[in-house]
Parts: sequence; structure tokens; C-alpha cells
Amino acid sequence: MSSPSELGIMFRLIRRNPVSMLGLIIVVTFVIVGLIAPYILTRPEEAWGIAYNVKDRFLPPSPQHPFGTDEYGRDMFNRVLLGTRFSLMIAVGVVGLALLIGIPVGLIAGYVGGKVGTALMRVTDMFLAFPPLLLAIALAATLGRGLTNTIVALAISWWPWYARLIFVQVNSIKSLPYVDAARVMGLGSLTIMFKHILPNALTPITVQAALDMGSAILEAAGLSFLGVGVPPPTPEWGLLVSMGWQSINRAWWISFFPGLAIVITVLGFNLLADAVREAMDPRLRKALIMKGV
Amino acid sequence: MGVFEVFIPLHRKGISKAVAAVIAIVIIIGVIAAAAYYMAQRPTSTSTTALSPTISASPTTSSTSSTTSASPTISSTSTTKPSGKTVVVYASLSEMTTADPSTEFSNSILWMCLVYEPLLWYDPIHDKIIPALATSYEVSKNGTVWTFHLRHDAKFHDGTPVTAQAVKFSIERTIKLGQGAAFIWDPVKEIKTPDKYTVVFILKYPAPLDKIAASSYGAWIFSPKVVELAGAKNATDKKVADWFNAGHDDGSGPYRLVKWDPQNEVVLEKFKDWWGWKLADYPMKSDSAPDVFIIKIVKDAVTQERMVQSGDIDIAEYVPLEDVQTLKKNPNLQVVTSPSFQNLLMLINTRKPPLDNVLVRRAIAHAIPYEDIVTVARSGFAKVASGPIPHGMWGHFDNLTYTYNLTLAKELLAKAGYPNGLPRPLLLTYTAGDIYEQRTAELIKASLAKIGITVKIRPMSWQEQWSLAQSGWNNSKAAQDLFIFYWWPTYITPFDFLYNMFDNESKSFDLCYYANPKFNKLIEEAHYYEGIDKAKALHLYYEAQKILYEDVPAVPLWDMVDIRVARANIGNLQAAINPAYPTVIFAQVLHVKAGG
Repeated sequence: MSSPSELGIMFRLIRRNPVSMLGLIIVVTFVIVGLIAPYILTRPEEAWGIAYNVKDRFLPPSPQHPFGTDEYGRDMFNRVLLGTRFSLMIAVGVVGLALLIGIPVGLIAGYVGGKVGTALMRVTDMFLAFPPLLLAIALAATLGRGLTNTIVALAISWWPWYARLIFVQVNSIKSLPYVDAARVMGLGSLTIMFKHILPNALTPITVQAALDMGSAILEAAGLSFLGVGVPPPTPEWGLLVSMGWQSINRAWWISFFPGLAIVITVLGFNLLADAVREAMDPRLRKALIMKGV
Repeated sequence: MGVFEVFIPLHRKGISKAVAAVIAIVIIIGVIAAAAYYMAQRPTSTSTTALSPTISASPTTSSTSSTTSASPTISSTSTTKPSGKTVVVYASLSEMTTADPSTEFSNSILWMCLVYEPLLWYDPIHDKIIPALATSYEVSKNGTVWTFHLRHDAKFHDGTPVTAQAVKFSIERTIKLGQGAAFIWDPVKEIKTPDKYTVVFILKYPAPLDKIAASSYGAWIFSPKVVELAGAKNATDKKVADWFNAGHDDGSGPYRLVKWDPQNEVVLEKFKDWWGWKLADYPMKSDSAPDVFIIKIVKDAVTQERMVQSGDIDIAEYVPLEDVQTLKKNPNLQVVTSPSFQNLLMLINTRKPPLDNVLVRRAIAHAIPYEDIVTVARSGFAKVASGPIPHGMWGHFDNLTYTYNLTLAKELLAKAGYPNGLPRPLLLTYTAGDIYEQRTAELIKASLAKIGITVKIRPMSWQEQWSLAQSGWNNSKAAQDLFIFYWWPTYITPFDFLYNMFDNESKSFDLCYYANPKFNKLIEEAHYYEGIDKAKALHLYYEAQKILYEDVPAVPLWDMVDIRVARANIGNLQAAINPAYPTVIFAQVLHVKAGG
């Protein structure tokens, strides 16, 4: 899965399509900005919300303040830039944590099967019975506001989808002859599960995870907008949109730019996920390899 | 995931992805532009509700199960209906609570002031008593016997006359139930009814019973017939409360409750037999008062602004304050400002180190940028507080504001032994969703950072943060350090503010855990003299506030200035607002031109 030739093939496939390339560029930019944001701010204190400037309230976008200023006179460009980091943490955190729970559950349920499998999958179904956003809101409201709590709340409402996906994959793979062969050779269950089954069950999960990175950002923004996400003055994008909502008639830019940032980032993840899906399509790959690209 | 799945089928059918992406962007921009254009042209309630996920109440008038002829057709208002009725629609930000006049202690004040009447009204701006059900009253020299003379022509909505027995019945029910604002009647020992239209209150100790009788909560008079109507055994039977909460009223006020849907709307209709309509020179009525008054729940200031601009509502309770200057220029609208007795304070946990040190508290008080907070949080529609008693109320003094002086604050902090700032972050809680509190909190955080105090802000629901603060009585370390908190009086007396928030007997709201016997004694004495010697009472209240100024159990932040935005054809709106009855619009004094 992670051998260089695999990634190489994927990259070559992505490069062939300008739209996929756009997605890749957006995502890479997003990750880089997210990592270095705190070090490139021109007004770090305003970005973190510990400084304000009453004289500069509600300034429209200008060369000095590319995204304008908010009701505290804080530079929105810096706020949005720093917000990238929080969105990155949320995307990685939510999907990572959900995978960490979902994969083992699905794998064990699928491989072991029987009563254990049934029990695990019923628990999964229980979580699936709730509308995900509703569950996340309820959890976030119970846990209290904060970045970690938001991530945990979203991950908990998210993992069952991965568990299900893996479960279905494992179920079809585990009866394949090569798995039987491994068993005949006397390999342990853990080795079979993680070395022989999991790598072959990962394809759909990878696509799904890439897609969900965008959704996680979107839902975290939704939670913040509803007032159960990250507490102010953290410049999380959803929170910025919700803060600007009050002043939307006076100063559209306060909500607009964080909103735009969300749209672009989610678009990037969606395009990239689509590209990954294509790159993993065996028929397309075969054609590519045969052509010797 | 949702949005872009749409494009996968497109792609499969042969449209390239690049084209799909371009189409997507064009559609998005198109929709945004169309929405912006549409809203700029002719805002409607539907277009704005879609933008706000927090609205659960539909702002369009529901047409089901209506009891009035007017309500089904009302969606754009203040024009004459076929039936010839004038209608005023008021948008309230909060849902209505309960409908029991004895125990209600919350948002339902909004309509109870129109449906029920107390013995007296109080105009705090001119410090004047206005007769309501009582036309006059006398007080004995020692302030413990109060005699009220009732008007003879007042009638309840069930047709029975308002009598001394009914007054006794109502107040006794309130006292017996002991909920909500029942405590205001604490001084009352006995109520006597020597004749049909005279009520005598015998008090345990002197108290300003005229103000108490004019209280905004717990002072309503209703018909004794409710027991019979509810099929109950006696006044305190739960059936009576259930009867009220099912949407019935039996007051004597100028309006009747005809539709009770507390989450969406409350409809009031003129009570034709109200005594006030016939009184030529009564100050609290108008000959062109609206026939129907509707309270619509619209839980978002931006939506309220849109609706008042489009005429879907006539009076908005809240609009985004930063837009007020623009709204003033709109010829179809009027902006009415009035003082309010609501103020915002920051209570300090005086028992949790290092805040138990008065020097630290003083340092905090001098490190808060009061002017900036008023500008940012309220767009200037507030006054920097001077002591815990708000501007315009008696008992307020002008020289109790802390200076904003960071050098002084740093010196005080150094003197307290923290030259480099406090060793731990302070936890500040405020009510989630309150934009004014939030902006205030953010500025406090930013400003205290300058003297080396880190503040962690935590928005909580009111119930949560109040419980957290309550836990501080047992374990002050578990409670928040700073608590942003609104106060407004039940009836107009400085004692209401000073006792509730700073007397350690008041376990519910003294959430600074402040205990100072000298202070307690001062305010009790002042309260005692209120009905007898007001000058002396004032002096004592001043002394008490000076103690608070020195001890800093709380930092008063700002006193609210109320803003109402209404359609220009709603006449006499200023007179319909009285800070002693917060949020209420006295609809009976409005002038509404038919067809206007």
C-alpha cells in the first residue's frame, strides 16, 4: 500500500487530470499553511484574540487588511490564517481518531465473526442509528466546549461508518484462498488480520477518509456555528462565520472570508478524494501501467 | 461529502470534471448573488430564516387552531384587516415561559403586563406612582399599615368585578405558593378587607409597599373564579396552575390572552370592557390602541432586523446594534432608545486564591477597558457602570466607576505579591449565545493579559454556569473565578441589587460569596428607612456602595440602554416603554393608524 511505487502511480494518475491536481494543490497548501500559520502571522496577538483595536472596527477589505477587520478591530486575514491550523487539527484528529476506533472494531467483527462479530456490529449499529450531527451536538454539549472535545465528539459519531466499511471488506476477503493458505501455514490470527487482510481492505477506507477530512472541517464549523464547538476567541472558521453573522448587514467580510476558506478547503479534499478513488480503480491502474506511463 | 457527490453522475455521463467544477462554482456564486440581491431588494421572513439554523420557531404566523378572527391572516401587518382590526406584531427574542401570574418570574412578563394589572404602576424615570387597580393609597406614620382604595368599575375578563376579596385572594395565592417573586410580599403579615373596595396590608416591618405592589413579577391580581373555572379544590391546587398554563387568563388588563403557543407566538386581543378605555385622562391608554397585539418569537437579531425592515413585524426587540445608525436613516422605521435597569457585572470569586486578596481584585477592576467594552459590545448603546445600581434609578451615584489604569493595576498586583502576573489562569464563564456578554468577555481577556493575568473563557448555558457558581458555597475552588452576569430588579429598590448579589444570606445570587456583616447591616437599615425617610435611606445606600467599591466583590461593567426598532407608523412608542417592566411594550398606549 505505502510502497513508493504505489504513491508514484497515484501521483502520476493525479497529475494527468488538472482538476485532481487542483485538489492536491489546495490540500497541500492547506496542510502547509496549517503547520506554519502561527509563525507567519503579521498580527499574532489579534489573531489569537488577545489584542483588539477599537479605532479600526469594521474596516472593509483593503491592502492593509486584505480580509477587512471585525467588530473588535482585529485583522481578519490573520484570524483566518490562524484558523487554518485549527481546521487542520480537526480534520486530522477526527478522521484519525475515528479510524483508530473503526478499523479494529470492523476488522475483529469481520474476521472473528460469530457472536463477537454480531455484538460488535450491533454496537456499531446503535451509533449509526443517531443522525451523526445530532449525536455530535449532543456529545459536544455534554463534554463542554473545546477543541479536543469537538474532535472527540465528531470522531465518536464518525467511527461506525469506518467499522462498517471494513467489516464488509473483511467479510469478503477472509474466505479467499490466500487467507486459507496463510492459515494452513500456521500463521497467527493477528498476523493474518493485519498483514494479509487489512492491507487489501483499505482501498475504500482511504477514499472515504480523504473525503471525510473535508466533512470533518465542515461539521466542526457547524458545531462552532451552533455554539457547541470551540470557544471564542479561538479563530476557528465556523466560529468566525458565526461571529460575523451578527454584523452581516454592516460588514459582510467578517463571515465571508472564513466561509470562503471552508468552501475552498472542502472542495480541495473532495477533488483529491475523487482522484484517489480513481487512482485505486484497478482497471484504470492496469491501463496506466500497461501504457507504461 | 454531500455536495460534490452530485457531480459524480455528471462526470460519468461524459462531462469532464473541469467543466463540472466550473459549473459548481458558477452555481454557488449565482445562488449567493441572487440571495444577496433578493434580500437587498425585498427581504422576507422566509429568505432570512433559511440563513439562521438557530431559529426553531417559524416566523410565519401559523394558521391552525386559531381563536381570533385576526390571527390566521396576519403575516404582514399593521394594515387594516377586512374586519377593520388594527394589529401590531412584536418580535421577542426569547420564548415565553409559563402563564401562571402567581409564580411566573421570567419572560412572560412581556404579555402579563397587558393582561393582568397590579394595584399600582411605577414610573421610575420620574419616580411617580401611576394608579392601576387602586386609585389611591395611604400609609401609616410608622410605615406598617398600608390602605389601598380600589376603583369601582374594574372588571375581570370573566365579567366579575375586581374587589378587595379578589386582591386578597390573588396575593395570598402568590404568597402560599411561595415561588417566583413571592418573596416581595415577605413584609406582609396580614391582608384585611374592611369593605368591598378597600384593602389594608398590615406589615411585619416598614417596607415600601407601593413599589412592591407595582412589582413587575408576583403582584398581579386575578379573579377568584379561576378555582371554579379550573375545577380545582382551592387556590393552591395544581389544577389552577395547569388551567393557566393551558393558555387561559383571568386578569383585568386591557388585553385578553387568546392564543397561547409559547414557543411560537402569543396573541392578545383588546378587552372592550377595560375600565381604562373609558377614562378620558388616564395616562396609560390611547384611543387608537391596537385591537390585536401579537408576540412572535424570533430568536435571532438579524432576522428581526430583516422582518422589521420588510414590515413582517412592527416592533423588533433586538436588532444588531452595529446596524442602528443605518436603520435610523430608513424613513419607514423609527429607533427608540430608553434607559434600562439591566446591568452587566462581573462577579469575582472572593474565596478562591489569589482572588481572596483584595489587592488582586482591585488590580482587575482597574485593568478593564470600560469605554472600549461599551463601544465594542454595545456599539455605544450602554453606559459605563458606576456602582451596581444602574443609571437613572434612585440609589445610583456617579462617582463609583473604576479608572482604567494599567500602571495602577500592575502596581496593585505587585503589592499583592504578584509582580509578574498571577500564577494560574482565571476561568471566566458567560451565557453561551449572548453576543454582548461574549464580546465583553473577550475584551476582558485581552485586557487582563496586559497585566499578566491569563483568562480562560468558557461559554456555558445559564443553568450550567449558575449551578457551577452555586457549588462554590461548599467548595469555592470548584467554582469559576469570574462570572459575567446580568441583573435587573424585581421591584425598583437599590436593596434588590445590593441584597441579592452581595449579602451572604442570599445564597442564590451572592455568587461572589461575599460576606461583610457591616455591609449587610447598612443595607438592611437603608431598606428599613425607604418607606419612612428616603434621604436617610439614600445616604446609607451610598455608604454601602462605597464599601463595595473598596472591597471589589464584583466589577460593574455597563448599564444597558434599550433599543427598539419599529415601523414609523407605530405612534407613542416611547411612552409604551418603562424600564421598571423590562421588555414590555404597553400596547394600550400605542397609536396605530388604521391602514397606515
